[in-house]
Amino acid sequence: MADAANFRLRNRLSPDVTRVLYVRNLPFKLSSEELYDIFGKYGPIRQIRVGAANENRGKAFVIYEDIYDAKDALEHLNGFNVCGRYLVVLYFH
Amino acid sequence: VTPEQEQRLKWERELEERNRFQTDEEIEEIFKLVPGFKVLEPPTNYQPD
Repeated sequence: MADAANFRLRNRLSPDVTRVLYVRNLPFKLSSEELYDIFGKYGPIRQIRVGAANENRGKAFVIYEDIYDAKDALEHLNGFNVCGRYLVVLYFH
Repeated sequence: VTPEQEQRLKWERELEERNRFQTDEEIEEIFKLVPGFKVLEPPTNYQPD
């Protein structure tokens, strides 16, 4: 575990990194399993919220337990193609 | 304590603060600003590694 701690301290996080990711351009018909599968690959998820009303459809918030997992997820998933749509992933402040 | 160690301690404290466990209330607080988003039930077999 020590090297993980060292890694974290050497790579100090910029202030704009947060654990809450805001995701846009998601296909509308994704199930909970699919969403947890796509985002869960990068680390334990604290909570996911999905847009209910029509203008929020295709938008979601994904909250990770660990801030480095969120950074990892964003770096891999921003621009990722899901069913022909390119995900937009941003840090939510 | 060398300045370098001091810097490291500062970063450690900062990281702990940014990474401490978020209670449900804190999460509710965040989503007050963003109405129209509802919690998605995790799949029954979901267990974070």
